[in-house]
Amino acid sequence: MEKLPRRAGISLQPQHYQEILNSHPDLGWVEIHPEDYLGLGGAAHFYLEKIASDYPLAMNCRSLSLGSAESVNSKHLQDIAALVERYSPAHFSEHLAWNRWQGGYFHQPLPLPYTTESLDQVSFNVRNVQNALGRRILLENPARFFGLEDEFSEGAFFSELVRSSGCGLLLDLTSLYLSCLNLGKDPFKELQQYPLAAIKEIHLGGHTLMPLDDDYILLVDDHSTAICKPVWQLYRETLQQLPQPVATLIEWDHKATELSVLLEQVGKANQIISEMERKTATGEVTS
Amino acid sequence: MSLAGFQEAFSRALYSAELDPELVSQIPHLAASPRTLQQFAAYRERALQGLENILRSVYPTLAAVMGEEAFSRTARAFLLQRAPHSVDPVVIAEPFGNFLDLYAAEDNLPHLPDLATLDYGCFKARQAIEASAMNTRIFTDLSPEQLAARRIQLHPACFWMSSPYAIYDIWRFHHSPYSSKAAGAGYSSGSSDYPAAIECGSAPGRRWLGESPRRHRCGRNP
Repeated sequence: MEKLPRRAGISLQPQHYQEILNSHPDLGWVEIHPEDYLGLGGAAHFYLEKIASDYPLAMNCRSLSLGSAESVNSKHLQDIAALVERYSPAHFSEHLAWNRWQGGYFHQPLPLPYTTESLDQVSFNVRNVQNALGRRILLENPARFFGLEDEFSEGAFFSELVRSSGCGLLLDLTSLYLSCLNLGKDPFKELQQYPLAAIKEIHLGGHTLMPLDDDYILLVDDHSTAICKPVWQLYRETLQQLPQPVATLIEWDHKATELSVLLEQVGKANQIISEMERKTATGEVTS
Repeated sequence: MSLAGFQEAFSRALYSAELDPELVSQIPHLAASPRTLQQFAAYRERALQGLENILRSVYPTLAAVMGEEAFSRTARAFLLQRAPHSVDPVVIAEPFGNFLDLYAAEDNLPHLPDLATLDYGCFKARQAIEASAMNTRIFTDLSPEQLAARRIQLHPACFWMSSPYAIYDIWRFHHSPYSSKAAGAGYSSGSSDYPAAIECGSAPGRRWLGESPRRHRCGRNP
């Protein structure tokens, strides 16, 4: 199992398979959604095997439904485990969300209330998955569109979850930013509540605006645009608070754009990482 | 209210035929807000859009033939009947062909189910496990008894079907090699791109391998 470098990578899209193999761009790593590779053969695996031999790989799962009040689908978990066995990704992550209820799947990460009961259930499901995969997994914060009556802030919930399950944190800064703006909170303040020492990977993605009425615009994480300036600021702020930079993903998996556009975003993230590493080396950053 | 109660109520509201304010108001743990219904609608739309996109990835040619609006309407009607019980697009999309039988009858488009079968078969074929094709060498060392005991199976990336309609021509006209998410430009594993498309020259017109008096559909009941 290769370690992810402290550099920026991209979510792998079929449109870019051949171009990546031909041009071998300067990418730190690539990430896939295992749900796109559930078939046993064909073009998807043909290309993934070649690309994974050139770049470190991470898997970001969207279907284990760790936030369900029911246990994880064991058959599906077996399929995912087989894929993990086949490719040995450096990181395996899943969302703090649910998308399965009574056997039915929704294919959209849905929010759950951050209560003690939820904490116990998610922690149980995380431990189950970690046992099945034989590795520590990372949990990713989702974007929230509305408020729920919670007993914990999201950051405090993650702190408890990390402690009780032993998982790591994949901090999606775009989701954090959008959730805070949708719920009227300050993302820079909320950031302080997360277990920053448990962060092993960061996600950055684009979002769109969905006006609900004359006075309110919902921010939606559709990963179909360039990363906005406030999220880059939040990224810089987060890296300043970490002992050292972590692997960072540029997410653009809807309305796929040219690879060159993704590489430009990768370059920007790498530039910030380099700045922070320089500052850390010269003692300018307090961790 | 328990987590299970929350998810039960959320699921019911998500999968109602129309966005139902009454069902949304019954979801526990929702913080009171004048915009809750619209915010919930955003989740609902994304969930339905996600499922619709899965169907579109399996049936790209069908979507092109039907038109985006009609395909979207039909896909959502299908999806709202019951939530898919799998993550795998092959499993999710399989019953859509049978559902189309009803749609096709209503709209006098009887060829649509067969077109769907062809799209579905091609999607499955592209993900099929790699397998060696039959060649003459494997027969070299067989005794007559061993040869008699051998059974020929279709390659996992092949499927049988027949249709009374010119669906291959319709499919070829509307199909884009880049319309399926799983498709990769320039991919070649040594097999033809569309192994189901075999033309027999023994009879006039275009036929399919394995054509028989009964209609066979890949992955569905004849």
